[in-house]
Order: sequence, then structure tokens, then C-alpha cells
Amino acid sequence: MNETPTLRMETIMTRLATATLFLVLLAALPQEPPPDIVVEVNGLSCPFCAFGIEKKFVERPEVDSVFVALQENTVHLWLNSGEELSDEEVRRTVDRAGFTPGEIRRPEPGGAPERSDASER
Amino acid sequence: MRSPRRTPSKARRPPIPAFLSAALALLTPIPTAAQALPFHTPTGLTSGFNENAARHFVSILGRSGLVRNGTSIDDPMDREISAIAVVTGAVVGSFTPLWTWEVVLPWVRKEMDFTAPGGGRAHVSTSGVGDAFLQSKWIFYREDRPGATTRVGIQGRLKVPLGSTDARLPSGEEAPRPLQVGTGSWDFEPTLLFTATTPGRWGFHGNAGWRFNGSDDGFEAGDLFLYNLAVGARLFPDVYQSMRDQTWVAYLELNGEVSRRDEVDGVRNPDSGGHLLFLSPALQWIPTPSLLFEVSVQLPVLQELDGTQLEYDTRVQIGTRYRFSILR
Repeated sequence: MNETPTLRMETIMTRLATATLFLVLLAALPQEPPPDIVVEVNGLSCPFCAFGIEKKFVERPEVDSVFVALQENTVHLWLNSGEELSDEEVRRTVDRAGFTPGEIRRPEPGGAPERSDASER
Repeated sequence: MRSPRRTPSKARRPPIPAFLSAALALLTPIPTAAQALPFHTPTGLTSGFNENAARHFVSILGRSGLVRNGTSIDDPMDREISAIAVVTGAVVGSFTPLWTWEVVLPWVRKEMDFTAPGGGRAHVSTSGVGDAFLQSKWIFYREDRPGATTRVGIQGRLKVPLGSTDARLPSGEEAPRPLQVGTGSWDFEPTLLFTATTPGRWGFHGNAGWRFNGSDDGFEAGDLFLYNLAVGARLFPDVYQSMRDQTWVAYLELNGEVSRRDEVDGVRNPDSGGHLLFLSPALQWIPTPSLLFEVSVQLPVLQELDGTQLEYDTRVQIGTRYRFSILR
């Protein structure tokens, strides 16, 4: 049986509305905030080795949570509200884990990330 | 639901849906290195400052079949020596992130089957705590790059004669030295270590060392030159989505030792010493970043044994390693 042009238009409109609703719902889902600090770590070579650096940062009272991005050779840090962690402390923590710190970035929501290059110091 | 990729938040944060995490991760398929630690070859990798790691493994080994200058000969006693060692080792402390110290303590059971003078088959065994090792590793050269590292260091190893050397046979006689669980001597072993991992899936490790054996009750085992080479390749995953991905690594090692002859009361034993080389494939499974399981087989591919000696059989090892912290 052939659909009339009106029926086809109704079908398209229904699908468009469904897709729009899905996108609106997706946008309304709670999004994880960007990390407060992203530090490049050189020398990470396996999860068993990288476990130490995750622990070293988790142990710090200023740090709320940590994500080690092995594929990017970076460690992402979320700080507790109102807490600060200086570049020097970040570098010291990486060093105590047995690795070499690289560039330290402090992404700001909606703004250009602040950059601090360890190699320039 | 929280993403499994990041450590749990100490406070409560709005979580990112897991499927979005996976989708975002799939957009960054940048290969990275993944190397753990070879089974037998000491490496230039350390666990970090105030970070501990423990290791337990079971080793099954043996000697049988008499050879004289490389040719099999008949053994009138048809001796078969076997041993099982349950070894526990741990990185117990660190002076710096690149200078650690470790303790190794084995439990050993040794058995020997042989044809007794009367013609019947006899069986003797000994067991107990073996000799302990105190060792320290210092990495004096480190070049870290994204996803890769090159490290050179030295390791000093001191054997402490904790194991018993006075086990006796059922007849009341003192058991022969190969059956004793301890050696009675203090030995020292300095070793040069090398490790290089690539930003891909490969890792290379090597070392060379010398074991200076002490003496006990007139017996001194021959000093040893020890060398090891290991090549590792990550089998899985092809690309890391998270540090918590399960990892499989295959290793192929060459473990060699060249030993001088033993001395008894200052006289060299012609039936001792030689060159021994094992080819050792191994497989490691890292289910979580703090836990590792491994299995290895050591195949004797070269046995240039001086004089008349029992040959070395294939060895099998299985073990686990895990990481923890005593101090913070």
C-alpha cells in the first residue's frame, strides 16, 4: 500500500521530534567537570607501573579524584573544593612516583587552558 | 553510575555516563606502551618512593640424566633430583624513588630418588626455609619520554644463609649438599641493569652480574657470571581505553649462567661448573593495575657442563605480584 504525501510528512516530523527530544535529554545529562589539572607524565609504560602515580595523587588531601590517561601519557586531577595544588607539588608527586613530569595545564571551563611548561623552569 | 576509568571521588560529583566515557575514549585511539616485568630478568624499573610490591611464585625444577663432557652416560644410581621452591619477595622500602630495597625469602622442598646399593629404589627429601636475600636497586640513569623510558642501574644482592645445612638421611648420615635447603655461605652479587620500553608495545631488558660465593665448612660453590635478556610484547589490548584495561604481555627471555668449579677443602671439583642457558617464554595477565599473574617455562637450550654431572630439566614457574603501600 502506498503512503500519501501527508502521511510521509507526519512520519518525518515524528522522527525529527524524537531525535530532537533525544538530543535535549542527552544535553541535560549531568556532565563531568573538566579536570582542574592535567599533567604530562613521561616514562609511564604499563598499568602495573602507572598504579603508583595514581596512588601518589590519591593520597594527597587536596586531590579529590584522579584519572591516568595512559593513551595520552597524562594524569588528570580533580581537586577538592577550595583546595590548591602548586605546580611544584605536582612535579614533586610525579617524581616521587618514579616518573618525569612534563607540561602542566590548568583547564578552565569555557576558557583557554593555562599552561605551565616544566621544561621552561 | 560512575566511570570505572577514574578513581572514586572523595566528594560527590555528577558522574559522566559510562557509554559517553567509552565513546570519548574511542575518539583517542593513540597506541601507548605497556610493559610489565619479565619473570626472571631483573629490570631497571622501580616501584617509586614509599611504594611497595610483593611477589610470590612457585618454581618446580629438577636434575636427572648423567652426562660426561656433553655425552650421556649410564648412571648406576639412576639419580633424580627434584625441588619445589615457594618464593616470596617484596620491595620493602625506598631511599628515593629510584633507590629501593627488597627482601626475598624462599621455602624449599628437595627430593632425591636413587637406586640404593642393595638394588631397591630409595627416596630422601628435605624441606624448610631456604637462604634469604637482601637486595637493593639504584637507577642512576633515567630518560623518560612519552609512553617510554630508558633506565640503567645497579643491583646489589646479599645472600643470607638462613637455610639449614645439617639435614640428615634416614640412615643418620648427613644429606649431600645438593639436598640441603641452605648453602651455609654468605654470597654477594652485583648486577648491572638495563631497561628500555618503546612507545609501542615492545620492551627490552637485560642485565649482567657476578656472584661471589662464600664458603661454608670447607665447601665453596664456584663463582658465577649471570646474564639475562628479555623481550616483552603487549598482546592485549591493542589500544588502551583506560589504565584499568586488562593487559596481556608475552615475554621471551634468555637466562644464562657461567659457573666456575666448586672447591672442597681448597681442591677444585672437576665435576662442577659450566655454562647453562635457558630459553624462557612467559605470559603475564594484569587484570587490575595493582595485580599481576604470570607463568613461565624454562627450557634448557645449552648445557655445557664440566666433568660428570646430572643435566638440568625443564623448569616451570607460576606466580603473582601485587602493589601496596606501608608508608605514605
